[in-house]
Amino acid sequence: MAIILAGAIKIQEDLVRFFFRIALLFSFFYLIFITSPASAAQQTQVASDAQVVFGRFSNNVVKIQVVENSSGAKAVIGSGFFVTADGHIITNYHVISKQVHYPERYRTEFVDASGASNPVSIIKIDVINDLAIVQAKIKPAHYFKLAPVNIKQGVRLFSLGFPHDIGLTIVEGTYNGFLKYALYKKIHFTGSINPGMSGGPTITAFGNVVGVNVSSAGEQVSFLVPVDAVLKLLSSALKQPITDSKKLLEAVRSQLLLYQDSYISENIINMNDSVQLGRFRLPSKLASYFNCWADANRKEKDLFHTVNHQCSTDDYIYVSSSHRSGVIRFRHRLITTDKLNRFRFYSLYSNLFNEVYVSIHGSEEEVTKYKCETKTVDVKNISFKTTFCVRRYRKLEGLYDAIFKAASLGENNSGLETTLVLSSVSFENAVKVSKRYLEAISWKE
Amino acid sequence: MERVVYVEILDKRGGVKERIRLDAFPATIGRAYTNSVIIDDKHVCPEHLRINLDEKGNFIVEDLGSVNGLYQVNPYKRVSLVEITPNLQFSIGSTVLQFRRPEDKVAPAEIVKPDRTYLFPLLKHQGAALGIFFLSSLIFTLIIYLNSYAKISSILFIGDLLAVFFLFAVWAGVWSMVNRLLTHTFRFASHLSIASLGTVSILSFINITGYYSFIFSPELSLDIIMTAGLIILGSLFLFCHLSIIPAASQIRRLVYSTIVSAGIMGIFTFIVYIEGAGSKFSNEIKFNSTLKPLKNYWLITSSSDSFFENVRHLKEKVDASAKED
Repeated sequence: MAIILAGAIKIQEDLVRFFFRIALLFSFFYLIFITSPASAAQQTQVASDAQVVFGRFSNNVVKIQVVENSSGAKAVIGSGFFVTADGHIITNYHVISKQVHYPERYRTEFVDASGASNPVSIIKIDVINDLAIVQAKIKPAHYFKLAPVNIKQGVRLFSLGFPHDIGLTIVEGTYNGFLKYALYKKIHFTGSINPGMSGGPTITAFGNVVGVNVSSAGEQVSFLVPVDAVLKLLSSALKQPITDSKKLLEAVRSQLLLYQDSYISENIINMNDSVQLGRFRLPSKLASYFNCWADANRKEKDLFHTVNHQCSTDDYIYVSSSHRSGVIRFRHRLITTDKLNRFRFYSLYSNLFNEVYVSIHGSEEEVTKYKCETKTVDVKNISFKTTFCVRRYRKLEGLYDAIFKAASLGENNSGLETTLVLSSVSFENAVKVSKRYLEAISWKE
Repeated sequence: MERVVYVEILDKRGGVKERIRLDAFPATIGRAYTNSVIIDDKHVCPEHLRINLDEKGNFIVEDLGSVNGLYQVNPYKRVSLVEITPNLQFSIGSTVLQFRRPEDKVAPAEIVKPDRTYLFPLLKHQGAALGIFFLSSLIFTLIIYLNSYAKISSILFIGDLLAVFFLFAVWAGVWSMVNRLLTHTFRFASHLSIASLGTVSILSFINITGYYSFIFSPELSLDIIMTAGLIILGSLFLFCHLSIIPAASQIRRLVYSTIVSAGIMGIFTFIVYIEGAGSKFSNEIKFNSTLKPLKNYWLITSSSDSFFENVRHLKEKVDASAKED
């Protein structure tokens, strides 16, 4: 009888425990849903979320256009949003860059809900984060109040803007945290941000601005500038706005100079991390925000093999419509053969050495041509044919793009060629980094 | 004894355009068809001059009252009646005349200078020329092979070679036609061997300058050496073709060959300049990437420190070009 009782009590305890666990589980689920109200709402009403957000916040978002003074034609179209009662609008630097480069030829306007154009003046820019603050003369009735946000991966976000000049549009997507290989943080947003939506806000369902639309890598991979960078710029704009649009280019110059000095930090100069290719030890990941990858080419119909190792970051800077730069990237390539004689191998090697695997695009108006110096250099008993090429930004004094290449010599059936590309750097830094890069190469017998 | 005088009508360079024999006197010179010597010059009168013998038996020339007159050339003066002496030139209208008599002296004949080059007998002999063609074709094939690095598919490779030899044949064919027109022989083998020998020398020269540029990493001197070398080889190439024929004198051949060769190089250099270091803008770097399989003791090297010291002059260069336009 006691056993049956004990058994019954045990079953009861188990049942209690079981129900307790269910209750706990249920409440846990519930909490999750509460903290992401968008998803909770989604459980019951999927379609109307976007409608609600649109209804509440669309008035804060405006179309930005850059217009050519002489013809009145629209040169660039983007988006922006009000953030203060005094008419400050946030947008991207790349939306208004034409006016920064040619202040006499262009003017910037925002288009209000009725379709009327109103002039704005550019009062602060941040080239590195691709942000700009412009100010309208009107006082908006509605605007976003910016504040730091702390959200988790997977949160539902809404991006607003004017894609392809169609009309104000809302796009739903998901927050996916920060890009791993970037020093200057960008948020990964899984949603289709289209051209024209640049400068628009991406917000939570409650209207908290998480970031500013900046670019897209296609197929629902898009990027946002985090709101922290916007807050910093806004407070600086309120304290010290720029009043003369001709001074904006000088701000571009000084920001790029500061950026490259901080980027080319001691970490990079030390080049501690290395990779082994054949008998060579070569510089690899220069900092945590560098991403490196390798590949090998072993096609049978080719009479030689190549093994590549290359590193870069996801940081890049938009300087103007025809000029993008990204500070630092490099590639090592080991070439070997067991089928070509030495003369044929060196014909191949010369051709491969001539290649530069990535070119920094710039227009004739913005950059000079490259000038190169080529010599044979001895480093730790290995001889290298080295070339150092540099070109200057015409309107941004003190900023250069540099390409450094080296090819090892002395072996009849193998060679290592390496290319280092530096953009938007000072001349001193270009020389310093290239020299350090070359001297970081070593060779084992 | 018959008295004869020759009237020579001279061209602009003093050469004889026409020579008329006069043996009946008095003889007249003018534009009309009644004259002994008819001159086709609108500034000459229908009846302009009379040539006659005087009492002493000397020839005299007399102006018949022409509109534009009779001038003796040296010293230049207008005359109405003058005795003909050796080497005396006259001018009527726009025509220059000279009178010669049988007793005037002429220089003895000059000796023909033989060709002093030894290559040509070899090239002129058709058998030897063919031999040279085959040998240089082998070297040509070797050079092409050593400069390639793709898998050689034998059919394509032979096809490419045959295409090149076809081009040689066409080039030699054109020269042979010219040869035929001037000397009634084709000498095809000679021209063919010159074509292949010339191409091989130019390719070898380019390869050798590749070694020069690899060892010394030169800047301006490479361009000068390349251009000069190619002009010299090109003109030698054309000179050989011309000498087989042979066209014109040796010196003239050399001059023409050099001018044509320099002209072609000039156009080529101009095009390369525009594409390369010249005005055309590009986002690509242009540097001498030639690498050669030489052991380290051949190389002229510098230290890393001195290389990076030297690159500082590039800063001035790009800063200067940023300031232009």
